[in-house]
Amino acid sequence: MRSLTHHFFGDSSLRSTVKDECAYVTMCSVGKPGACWSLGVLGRGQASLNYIYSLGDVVKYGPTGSYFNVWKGQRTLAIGDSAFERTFAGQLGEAAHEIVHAQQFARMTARRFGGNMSAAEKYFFGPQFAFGSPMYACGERVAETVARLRINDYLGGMSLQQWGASTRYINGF
Amino acid sequence: MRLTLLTGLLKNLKGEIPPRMRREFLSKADAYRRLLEISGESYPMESVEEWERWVRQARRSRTRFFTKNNKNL
Repeated sequence: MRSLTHHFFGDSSLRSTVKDECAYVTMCSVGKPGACWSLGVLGRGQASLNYIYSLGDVVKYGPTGSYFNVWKGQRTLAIGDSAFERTFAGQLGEAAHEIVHAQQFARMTARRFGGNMSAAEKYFFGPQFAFGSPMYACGERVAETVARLRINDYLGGMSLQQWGASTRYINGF
Repeated sequence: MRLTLLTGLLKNLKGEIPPRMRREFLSKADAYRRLLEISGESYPMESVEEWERWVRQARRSRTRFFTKNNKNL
């Protein structure tokens, strides 16, 4: 049986692991409203994938956790171990959260820096957005709020526990 | 990464977050300074256990730190 990423990328990606593939699938699922979980419907899956790759140059499994990072112009979206230990909704929520960060970066690059990614990278990861700063807290609250609304919409509802966990995260800042 | 403020500061104080996690990484000194600011406590940087105890208490009390009334920020 061919790997999932083979469907998307052909032979060049055959070295990817199962967890890499799960990361692709998870990201694609929340990449666009109405995107499909099942890669059997490759039409919509491909649209989601294209959108995800407009936000991140690398989409992968990240053993240390889910994150969005930019390093020397390369944008990375990763889904970590913690996500795969969670429920379906939790997994999607984690991916959706990182996608919002990627969108925040893309928007800032386009609007504030006229497409200059190097300048945007310096600003986005600069001291004013450092962990624990008010701007960081603001970014996290927005990301989590948007992510849970998207997942709620996508799944047609979330459990009270899932919603509560998200609220605790937002209120933690 | 979905890392709460207190967990992230504690992890940074212990040096558990690698610098390549650019959004989450702080130097130990910066994490310590931020903990001093939000807590109003004065535990030394090396007293990780005391900071852990304070973080547990702050979590239990559900303290919110980024409010307009917080003069420490």
